[in-house]
Amino acid sequence: MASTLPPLVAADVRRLWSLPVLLAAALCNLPPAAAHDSPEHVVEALTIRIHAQPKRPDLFWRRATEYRALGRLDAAARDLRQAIKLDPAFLPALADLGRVQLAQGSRGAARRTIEQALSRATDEAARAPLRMVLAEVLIQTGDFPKALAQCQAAISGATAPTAKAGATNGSGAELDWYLTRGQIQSRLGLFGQAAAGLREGYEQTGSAVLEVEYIEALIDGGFFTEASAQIEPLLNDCRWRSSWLIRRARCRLGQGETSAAHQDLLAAISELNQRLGAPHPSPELLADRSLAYALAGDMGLARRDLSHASQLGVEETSLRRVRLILAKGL
Amino acid sequence: MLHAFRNAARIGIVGAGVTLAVTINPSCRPASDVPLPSSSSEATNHFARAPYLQLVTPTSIVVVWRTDGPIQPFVRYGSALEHLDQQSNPLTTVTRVAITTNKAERKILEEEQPELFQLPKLHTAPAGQFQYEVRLTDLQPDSKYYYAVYDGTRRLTERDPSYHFFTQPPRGSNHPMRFWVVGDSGTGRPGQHEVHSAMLEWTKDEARPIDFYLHLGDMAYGRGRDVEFQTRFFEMYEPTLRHIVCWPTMGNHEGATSKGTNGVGPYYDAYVCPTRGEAGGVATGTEAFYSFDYGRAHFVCLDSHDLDRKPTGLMARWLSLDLERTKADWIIAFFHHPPYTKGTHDSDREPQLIQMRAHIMPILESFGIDLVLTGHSHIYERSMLVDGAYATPTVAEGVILDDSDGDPRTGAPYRKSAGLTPNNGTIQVVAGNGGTVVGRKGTMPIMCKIAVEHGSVIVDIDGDTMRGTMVNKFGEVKDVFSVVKRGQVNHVRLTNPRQLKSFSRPKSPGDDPAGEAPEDFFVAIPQYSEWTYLTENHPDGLKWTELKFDTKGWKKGEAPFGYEYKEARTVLEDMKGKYSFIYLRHEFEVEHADHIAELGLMINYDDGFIAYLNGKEVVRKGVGKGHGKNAQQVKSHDANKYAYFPLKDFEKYLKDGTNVLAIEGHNTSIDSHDFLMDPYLLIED
Repeated sequence: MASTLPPLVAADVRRLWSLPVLLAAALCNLPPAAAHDSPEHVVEALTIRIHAQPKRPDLFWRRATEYRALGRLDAAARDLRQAIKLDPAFLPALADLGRVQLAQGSRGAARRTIEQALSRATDEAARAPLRMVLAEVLIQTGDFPKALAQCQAAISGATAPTAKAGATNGSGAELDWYLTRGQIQSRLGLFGQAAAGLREGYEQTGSAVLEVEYIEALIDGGFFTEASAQIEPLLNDCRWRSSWLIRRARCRLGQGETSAAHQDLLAAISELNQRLGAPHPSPELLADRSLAYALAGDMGLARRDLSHASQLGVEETSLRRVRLILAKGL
Repeated sequence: MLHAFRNAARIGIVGAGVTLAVTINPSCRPASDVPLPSSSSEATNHFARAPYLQLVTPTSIVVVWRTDGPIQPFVRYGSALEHLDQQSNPLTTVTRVAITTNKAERKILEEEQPELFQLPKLHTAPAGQFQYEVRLTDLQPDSKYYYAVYDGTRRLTERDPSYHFFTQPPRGSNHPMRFWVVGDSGTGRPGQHEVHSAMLEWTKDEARPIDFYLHLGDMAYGRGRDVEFQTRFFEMYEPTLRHIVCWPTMGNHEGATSKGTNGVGPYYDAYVCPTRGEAGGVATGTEAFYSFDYGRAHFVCLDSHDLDRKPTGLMARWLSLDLERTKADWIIAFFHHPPYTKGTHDSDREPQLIQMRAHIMPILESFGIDLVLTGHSHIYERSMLVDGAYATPTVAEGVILDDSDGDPRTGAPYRKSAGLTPNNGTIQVVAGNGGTVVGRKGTMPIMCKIAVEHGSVIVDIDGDTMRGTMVNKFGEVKDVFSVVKRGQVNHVRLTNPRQLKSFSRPKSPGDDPAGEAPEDFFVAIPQYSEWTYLTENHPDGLKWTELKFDTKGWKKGEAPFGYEYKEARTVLEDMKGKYSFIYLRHEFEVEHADHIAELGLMINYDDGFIAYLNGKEVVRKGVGKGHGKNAQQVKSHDANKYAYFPLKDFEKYLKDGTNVLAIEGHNTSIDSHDFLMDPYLLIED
């Protein structure tokens, strides 16, 4: 048996660590600007290397990564195209080009790029991250059913037993993918499916964010009893309780326990007031208080906080629940 | 021995060894039956990566190591070096493997050893390496254990007391702690080694070793590949890592080969971080960010490199969930990209830094964070007590709560309310000076102390008091700050806080025959550095200008050197009337000498000097002829401004690694009424 062993497996691996190899490996791959590595310096260093080795797609891809860090999307797109021209099957470059095009607002181009990448990917595990980019494109175009299909396929592909080997989080899928799928399902009114999918993600990974999203989906879907059972132990374990008090109040309102819900909301607002006293408070807390006021029926104060939070740049996803209440009532 | 090990590895991988390595050995013998090697000399060179410790909790720890080829991995441990009476449970051992990328070889392996492909993979590691992550459980809190690594019954680690660990104290217990903070160190150069040694010496002098250590990222230049981790992190810190846990955060250099979104790459291979709240805090589901508790302190690690930094992103949402649940009295966050810096990076310009400030800092401060530790910018910068500085560009007005220096040695510590109070003030520390070339772009308005030199930070927390100490690579204390959390403290925001002097890049005097200073440069020898110097006697010849010269008998002092000039930090009180010269030496590090466009001396001088690079004369000013005791025709010159002198033919003499700049300074006569030598060295890339 031993004679059939490939020579570089197990045997003589220590040989690979000989000093000349180590030195060569260490020095040849150091970017020249390793010692002072602002993105601009790295771009300069990579530019020098690209001039010396203009046929290496990985160098263009790495420079594009730095351009993205600098917010220079046009330059990033240019480099990514060059990388793809040099190696049309270079999936990381294709995926990044799709992301850059999406960030530039070129949804059609992004879609074509990702579809090209999907056609070149050899297995579902490789297709999974590409599908998630495509799902983002489809979300932006408002095609939620197709976006959901891509998410489902991505998570299935990534969580297949062969793809999962080596995954560090217990699941082959990235945590964000579960969130995106849950958000699409909620958007489509599929709260039960959203809750089930998020619970699956939570059970596989342990992520506390997925756990909360699971509870949110339960509340949004009207599964108040199940949600309350999840909320109680978490609420009791917190030093800062406002977000959990608001969730419990939503359950209680849904169950017709108006008085208990208002007590929760008053307690939440009181705690939030303590934390919003600074001249530069956390904008997310303003969004929370806006929701608490809205649930308590104080629409004027809810609008004030909503406006303030919006001015401070809080994203619409954090404001959607309060906007819904302000638009349609409780 | 090596030959035998290779054979064992070969047999293992094609025979039963892999099975032994990856599955449970149900009949492992009681630890007392395992024979120990008769001498420590038997237990050497068994490791591709020497044992190190990870993910310690009050009741568990993970011991990690690598071998070339599979072994039967066991750890024996106990409360006495000679009494390792407990043995690891194979059920709690994770095995990772690096499989060849050669397609033909992989095909053969897939047929003969399909179970190998079910193992978690090592990325960019040499083919055939196995990594073992052995979790020891059911330990006693706050206890010392000795340990040894075994291959079956064969002991691999030496019988050495340095193979030990302490479990953490019980969560919530009021237990003093000391931890080391270092960033941007992974060069493998002497500067990194010196910073590490300085920490060890300083803590040894204080008879108080560190309990754990935080690495702020960029621990494996230049691309965070496996070989770079090995040579620039694991081998550099091995004596510490075998008994101290390092809690890491990923830097941009590791980010070149590792990915936070899926937790894959050499960085994630190297470390075992909490994903399910094992060490305290809330489960993340990823190793990219995490938290852990130590006594009454809660530590939060974030991935500022490649994850969404927005408040709606996964990481920020986890951060809120984590901090709303902590019961600690202290919160300390560490990540790579600094929210506030004007070192080699500018937090007013770079998106990652701006986003950490605008999106993450409001969350941290709303939960009462005390200390933020970051790297990335190759400098030491430490802030005053600050809150709410989220604007771009950063200004000090209205965001400083206490503009004192917080140094308990010379004044008062910063005061905060007991426990965790939202927006009660944060100290920001940028400690990216752990080993690579340092530099500075300007002055961040909220900063209190800035040092452009190699060093690291040692933090002590005892009850309601935290103390931070910056120790440079020479073991000198360059900054101390302290925070006391007691009673109720209400700060008044300062509308016109004290600020450091603005920093402007030195300009050449213009009318001087010297050259034009480069617009963009890095500092090879910082201003006010400590130099080795000789006075009163002349050295023989020019040997003293060479790198290998022994400076025994020379003194050390900070530049500028001189008398009658108020700038002088090393005052040569005995010079006037006694001698008219000084000999100075300063070593410095260079990576990639062939990429350096210019090397230049910035110097304010009175009266003349000759500079040497690695034994070769490169600048002469105001000294007509000769050198040393034969120097003649020294012209009078007042030190009223800096002049810049490019070093002639530096490219012939400069080399990668350690170099030495030597300067002989001359006065016109021993009766001259003043003298000054104030040099530093710049690199233009």
